Amino acid sequence: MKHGRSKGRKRASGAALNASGAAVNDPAQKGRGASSCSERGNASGLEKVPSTDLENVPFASFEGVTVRFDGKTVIDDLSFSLDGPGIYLLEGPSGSGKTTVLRVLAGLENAYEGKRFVNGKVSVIFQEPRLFEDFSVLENVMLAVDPKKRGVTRREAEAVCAGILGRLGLGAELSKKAGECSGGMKQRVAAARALAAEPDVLLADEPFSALDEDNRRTEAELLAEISSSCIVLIATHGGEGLFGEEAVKARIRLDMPG
Amino acid sequence: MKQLSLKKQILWYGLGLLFIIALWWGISLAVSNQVVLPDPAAVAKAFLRLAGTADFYLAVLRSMAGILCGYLAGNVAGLVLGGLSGLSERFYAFMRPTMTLIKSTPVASFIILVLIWVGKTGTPAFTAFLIVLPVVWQTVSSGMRSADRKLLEAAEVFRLSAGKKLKYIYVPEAYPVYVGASLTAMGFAWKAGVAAEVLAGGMKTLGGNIYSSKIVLEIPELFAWTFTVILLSLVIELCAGAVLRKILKRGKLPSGRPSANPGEVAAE
Repeated sequence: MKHGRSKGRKRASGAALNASGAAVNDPAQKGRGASSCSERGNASGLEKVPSTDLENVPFASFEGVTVRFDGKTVIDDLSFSLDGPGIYLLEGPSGSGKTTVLRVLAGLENAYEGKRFVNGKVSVIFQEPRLFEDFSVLENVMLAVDPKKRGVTRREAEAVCAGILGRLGLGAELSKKAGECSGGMKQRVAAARALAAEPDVLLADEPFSALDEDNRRTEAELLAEISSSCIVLIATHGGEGLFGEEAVKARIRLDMPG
Repeated sequence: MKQLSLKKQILWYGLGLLFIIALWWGISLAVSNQVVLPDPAAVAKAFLRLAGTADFYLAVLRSMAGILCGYLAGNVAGLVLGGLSGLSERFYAFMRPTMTLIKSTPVASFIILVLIWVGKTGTPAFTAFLIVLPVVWQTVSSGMRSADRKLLEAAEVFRLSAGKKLKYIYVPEAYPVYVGASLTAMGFAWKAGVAAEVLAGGMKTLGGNIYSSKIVLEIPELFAWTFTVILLSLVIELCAGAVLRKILKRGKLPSGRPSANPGEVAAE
């Protein structure tokens, strides 16, 4: 299934969908995706008014987004929509603009043409960890959490963060300074931080690049878990094979511009 | 070059000092005119005589208080304006002409202008203020501007408050350069402040006394007052240096220096 306004100019093939067929621009389809989600999130919520539910459904889309840096086109008229929770893969060779797509979605790139829409709290696993080197592993993850806003004590929030770090095999390194961690550890801390933020839309830029096989699997499991309530968009070279074909809700393929 | 032992360093430092005094003494003997160049003994005598009076210490206190006020005001203004310039490119560009103007105006010119504008009493403080302000502004704003963009983006994504961004990203970047520059500027402020006192004249300050000694041709006293300024200058710089070292050693702020790229798969 293809979508978008002008197929001729498009270099991205849009979202190649799996059987669930949720990633579409069609408003009717969007409504359906939303309702199916509300059933999942709220088993007895048959009486729920669909419109209120719609507001809570994570959603992210591009409509004809074009990005140019210094006159060079990095993304050319790209359209897709990520409709409801699930794992989405953003594939393409390096230089095809994967990082830029994530940056525009995250609101870090404002110089683009077209329309970008994101519903929900966004969190990012950057390609480089971007940690506070002088802070401990736990402190780094805690930066993404505002206990007051969540109505929990700091101690409770720390326990949650420590739990996520534990899942990623960092339970014994909570008080280690981030600057003293290895590259692979840093990347897992960055992942834990992004997960601790409790996002609706999680953007992950090559999150497995510095990890060994075991850690890749653990992190993929965690991402799969969170994807039941969250859009997880993973930029990858492709062919990581960590998620079964049935687990991937849609793929967006980017080709080299020009 | 081979590093000298501390003993030898002191020895050679002392020899250098003796050389200056000997040269001074020799020239003063050759000139043999106490008004043109008094000999070290006469100056030492004048200094000891001055140091025995209460006026001497009052002059030192007055000078230090005035110049310190200007120095502190320059720091506060420099921190505020530099901080804003570090956050906003527009404000930085807007402030640049003012700061360049202040920095490039010869000290003697603006002392005279300040004398006309604010009168004798406030001139040394205002001069110190103008010396310190652009230095602090420059280091604070450029320190903040060099804050890590990638870390700032991460802070944006994870919705860190402005206060936390300042504390964890901007301040650690700007703090060490600020402290260094500000302490160095203390020496400049001191010398410029005394120069302002000299040009203002007629005040019971160090510079004021230099001025009066010149008027009455009390040259040994003029040397003695100048010597006092040099001595205090050394003391200020030594103290500033010690404070700086202490701060940089102990007060390493938690900073968000970015992680290096993870690169290859880590062996764990």
